[in-house]
Amino acid sequence: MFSILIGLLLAFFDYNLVVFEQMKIEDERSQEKIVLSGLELDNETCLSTVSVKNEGTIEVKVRAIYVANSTTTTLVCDPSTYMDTHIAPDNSLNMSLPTGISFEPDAKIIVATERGVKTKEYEALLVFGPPKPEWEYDPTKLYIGPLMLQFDAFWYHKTRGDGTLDPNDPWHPGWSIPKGFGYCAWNITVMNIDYRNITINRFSTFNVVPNDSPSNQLPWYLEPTNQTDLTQFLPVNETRNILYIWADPKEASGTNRPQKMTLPECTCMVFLTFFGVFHEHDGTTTTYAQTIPFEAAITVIG
Amino acid sequence: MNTLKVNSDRKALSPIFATLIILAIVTVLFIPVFIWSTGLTGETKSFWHISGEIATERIVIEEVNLRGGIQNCTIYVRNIGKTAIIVDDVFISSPSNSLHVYEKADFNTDPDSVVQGDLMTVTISDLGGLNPVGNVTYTVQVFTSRGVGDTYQVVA
Repeated sequence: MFSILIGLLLAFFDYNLVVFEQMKIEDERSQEKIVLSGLELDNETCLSTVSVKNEGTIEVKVRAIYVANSTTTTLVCDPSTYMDTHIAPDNSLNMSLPTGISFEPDAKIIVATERGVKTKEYEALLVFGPPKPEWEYDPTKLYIGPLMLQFDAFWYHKTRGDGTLDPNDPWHPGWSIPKGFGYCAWNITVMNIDYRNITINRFSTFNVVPNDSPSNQLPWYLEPTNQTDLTQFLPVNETRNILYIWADPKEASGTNRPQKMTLPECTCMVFLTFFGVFHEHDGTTTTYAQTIPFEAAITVIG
Repeated sequence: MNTLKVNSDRKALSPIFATLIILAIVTVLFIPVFIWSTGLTGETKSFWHISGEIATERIVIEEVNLRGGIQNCTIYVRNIGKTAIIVDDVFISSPSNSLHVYEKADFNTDPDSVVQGDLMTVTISDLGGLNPVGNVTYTVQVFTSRGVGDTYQVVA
């Protein structure tokens, strides 16, 4: 009877021991984290070496490398069969690959550890790094958004009290304007560099903000080219002039008054704000808004 | 008149013989109890043993090669538990909720059994009624002989 009881107790404790061991395995697994950090080619056509970094808190052992492309997922090798693939925390390991594995930019390379933890990455990203911005820095093409401003095509013009352009005044370069110039209109040049046509509305403004007293900013509202719906259409890849005349958004009734240059002698920043819609290729429209800060300020001279 | 005289010095059974008889009776009575308890103990030990094996059985599906228009499938299964495993069943379900069951006879495993840390390749050479469609997500489940399994989603 005593031996039976001993046997039962031993079986029970043995069970507890294996459950504890399994919990330990799960705990260790949760501490594993590996990241693919590099991929080298030989003669630019075949994979030669893959680099893996252990970013976890426990030593790992790499046991499998796969390649998955659009047509198949293949087990390439178990590198532990020909080299020591243990990686200590915060360390990296370069593992050579069998010869003849073609480099496919769109394929993913997958590395798995002995505890079944994986990491995967596109081969092209590992070889060439993340994609770079398509454009290089060009001070003449500063834009963030679909409308690109042409900085060298920027003028102002005297207007009458009803907002019409004064025929006796020419267009002046916009970089400086005399103090007390009175009613005036601003003309800027933009190009639609988006892949969709744009329509801007009457709330689009040309804002002049004095550096010394920003609260005294003056807005000039859009003079719409389409007087029916009070908008302006900007086709893709075409350059257009935009005219700003009004002190408040243009009304169909035509009761608006033009904005007047009333600022004292000062230097101002200029902000262009556009509101409107994109014309999507499926015929729908989506909202559009953009702000363009001028790189250079305008000056009100004495 | 006859009188019955009891002789207190006389005994019906000797004490030794009586003790032997008692021991014999107890032993005979205990035999079925012993047999029952031994069986019960064996069953209990077996229960703990099997429970322990199931508790330490753990697999992970590492990768699945299932592609649209291709009538075979390869599943890479790693044993990450203490117990050696044998794969018995593979289930593949499609987004239309059709479940395809593949039993031991329907696939090959290489090797037949793997211990902790090792990889098993399960190859289904003919998917039967399942025709994988490209860019559709399928759920693959692999189960061992003790009913332990893992699930993996793959885009064909």
